[in-house]
Amino acid sequence: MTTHDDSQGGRKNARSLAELHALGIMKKMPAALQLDSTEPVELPTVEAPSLEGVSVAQVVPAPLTEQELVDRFDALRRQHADVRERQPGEVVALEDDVLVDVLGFANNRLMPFSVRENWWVRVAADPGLPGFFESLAGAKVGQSVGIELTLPDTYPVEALRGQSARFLVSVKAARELKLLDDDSPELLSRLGMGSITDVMRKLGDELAQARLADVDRLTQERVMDVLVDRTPVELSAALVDEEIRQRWAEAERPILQRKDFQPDELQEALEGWLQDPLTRMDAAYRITLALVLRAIAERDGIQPDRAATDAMLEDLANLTGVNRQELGVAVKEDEALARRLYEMALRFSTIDHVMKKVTLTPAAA
Amino acid sequence: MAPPIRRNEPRPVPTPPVTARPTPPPPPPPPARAEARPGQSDRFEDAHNRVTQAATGLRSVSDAAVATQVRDAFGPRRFGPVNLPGGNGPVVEGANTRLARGAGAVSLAANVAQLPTGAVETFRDVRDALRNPTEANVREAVGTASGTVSTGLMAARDGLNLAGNVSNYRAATDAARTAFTAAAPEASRAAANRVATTAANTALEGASRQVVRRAAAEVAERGLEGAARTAGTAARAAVQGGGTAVARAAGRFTPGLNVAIAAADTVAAVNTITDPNASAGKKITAGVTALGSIAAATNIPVVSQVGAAVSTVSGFIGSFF
Repeated sequence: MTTHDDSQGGRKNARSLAELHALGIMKKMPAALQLDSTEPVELPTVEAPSLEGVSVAQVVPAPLTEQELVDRFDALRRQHADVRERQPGEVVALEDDVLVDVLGFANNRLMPFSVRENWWVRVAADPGLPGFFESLAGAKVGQSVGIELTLPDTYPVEALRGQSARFLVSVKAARELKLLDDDSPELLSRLGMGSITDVMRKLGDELAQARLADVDRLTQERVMDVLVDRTPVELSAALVDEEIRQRWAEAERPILQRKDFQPDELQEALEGWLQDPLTRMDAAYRITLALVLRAIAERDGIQPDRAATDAMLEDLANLTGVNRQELGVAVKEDEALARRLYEMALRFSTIDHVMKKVTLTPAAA
Repeated sequence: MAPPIRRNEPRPVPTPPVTARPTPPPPPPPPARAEARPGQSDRFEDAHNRVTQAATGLRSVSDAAVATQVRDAFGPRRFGPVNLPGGNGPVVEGANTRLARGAGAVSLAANVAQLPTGAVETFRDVRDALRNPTEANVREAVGTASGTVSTGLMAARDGLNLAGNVSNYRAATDAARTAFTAAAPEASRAAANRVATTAANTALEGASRQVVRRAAAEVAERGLEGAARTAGTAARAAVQGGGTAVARAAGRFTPGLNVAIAAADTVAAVNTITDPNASAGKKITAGVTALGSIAAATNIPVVSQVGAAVSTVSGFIGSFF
């Protein structure tokens, strides 16, 4: 929050004509182009909900299936396949990996969340979007294809189900994969995990761990749902708009700008996000949860935990390939980054605190 | 399931702003349609060669592209299991018909048109044609694109190595998990060990698809017993949960999928992380976004990030370096 001090007056605070002109232009900018908040947003205050009597059933882990393990094995086979880069103009084949940019259109508008840039995908049918990925077979590297299809009845964006959609896909690179046989000694050598039994044991171990982590996360989310449910709060539409706009500006706007989208197109793209009911619900939920957890942290005097924060920083460093020293420099130079990390650390501590207070009942078998 | 929350009224659709972009000229009259006839697929190939020449600036072939890349085809249009109403009519068919046919179900699932250049998505008229593909604007778009192009697009970067990132991240989260569980080595470890032991005890000689499946079946059948008993370790899950979320998000997402807010975030994050020119700060920010993009509890709204004093923030975070 900044305040404006008029007391000094005079030349120090005078704006140049150019500045004033620029400010005038910025005021007329569509929200899609503005870097800062389009209008002041005010966070409502909430009362921290009581944690007494919060009881949540643990989530039941989904069973490990044979198919999941085989799928994992096949993913490893692809990862360790012989790879040949296809040349510009060469035709893409089924089961290639291709690097694509995607824009999707439906109802004469850019489809929200359809924009991708530098996205590696496998050229094979996917039930999530029948007809899309497999249609890339036959495209040529360095060229674009238009794909028209009808979005399936299972499409998660309800408003778009059954709608005709058109995707503009640029195929920027492709890799032909030559998979090694399951029983190839070369494959086992590349995997470096021992025999096929050892490989499967390791994959099973990974999958079981991932499943347990998922179960923990889902149980935790159930608890967060209860907290949100216990906390009545009115959020302004402007606040939700601004949250969605910030997310869009981070994820989609830079790509669209690189693709020479004009201001009106950018605004249209933003509106696609703003008008999506699930996106609004998600933003409202996240804002409410943030307010609730902050209120709990303030009431109960929660501070970020050092060990958990250290683990988080280590995770981030490993994920991003940034070493701790570089990370240290970055947080010193970038206050916003430091704040974001602090918020995350405090969030972890608060969730931990909450989870210790609630009662977890055994999962129904 | 998300709890009931107060919903905001839908925001009224603002009037699109007026831009300085000049009004496009009226489209030229539609060209004569090329009749579909035997041997046309060869002409497609031929047209593509010529388009490619145009793309490298050798000549303009927009007319040829129009005449041969768009053709009429009739018959029921099927998209996966769904029959489209009014299915008889002109469609844009794939220029690479020979290969598209080779792809089996492709021609039933979708209509594909090979567009003449690599960077057409930067051209507004092509985008407009995609939004509302009338015959006239498709022709205009194809013609414009084929006359404009450059080969800049083929400076395609090495791209991202998703598998590598996932793998690295898994290793990192595994390490973190080990650290976390060191203090309380209870059921989650036991479950994993159970799976491992079961698999190890499965005597399998040689390897084949059948063997792989059998090995998988052994692990799958018993792996769950331990997992089912140990579902309650939620308190330590925040960081760990993020790990699986990132791993999953870096996989395959469908464009347009609504969970794809997370997917869009994550693909963008992976791009940033793998960009050698991105600053350390940008990469870490991308990592935070990726961490929060699926695990709802760690997805902190941008608008809520106020609060602690700068000195508190910098003092705490700075103390780790």
